[in-house]
Amino acid sequence: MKKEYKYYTGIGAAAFLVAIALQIFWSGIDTIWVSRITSFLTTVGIVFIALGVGRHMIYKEEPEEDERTKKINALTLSYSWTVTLVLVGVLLLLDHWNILKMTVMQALGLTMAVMIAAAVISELCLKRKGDVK
Amino acid sequence: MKTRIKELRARYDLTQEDLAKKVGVRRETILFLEKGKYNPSLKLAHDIAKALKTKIDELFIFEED
Repeated sequence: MKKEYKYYTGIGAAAFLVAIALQIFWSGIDTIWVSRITSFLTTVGIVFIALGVGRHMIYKEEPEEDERTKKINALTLSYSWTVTLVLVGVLLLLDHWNILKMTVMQALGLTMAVMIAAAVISELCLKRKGDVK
Repeated sequence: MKTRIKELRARYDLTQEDLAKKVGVRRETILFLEKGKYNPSLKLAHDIAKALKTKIDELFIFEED
């Protein structure tokens, strides 16, 4: 396992253990903060362990990125940015013409979802190619 | 562009994974290089040539249109 993944897993395990210790030793004290801290530490622990173990399972000893994947990632971000810009433009026009009214939260949520989806889809498509220009 | 990577890799009994590890890239990059679908940077071409104990111009064959 790579050092970086070991650190992630270690931090996750430590957070998890602290959460368990808090739950055991402070179980008598019924405070909302202990519960919040325990939940937070448990989430952090799970996320870090998943990142460490998951990345190890996917990449093993291979580098996570090289010159080819860096080019693909750059193009992916550029596609995602362009799609998002077009979407924001369309939303702006739809709002201006009173065709579609959205709240700020809805617009932001939609923009984020489309941005992430565009990045994931274009990355999947581009990774099948040998080279990108 | 054609490459002799596969041929030379076999000569030195290296797997794609071994070569990828030697030059610090992902295995798929070696795969696409062997298929002639990826144009490497000069540095990567140099590193691969060095790993396969050959010269860049002997490793990559450019065909005139």
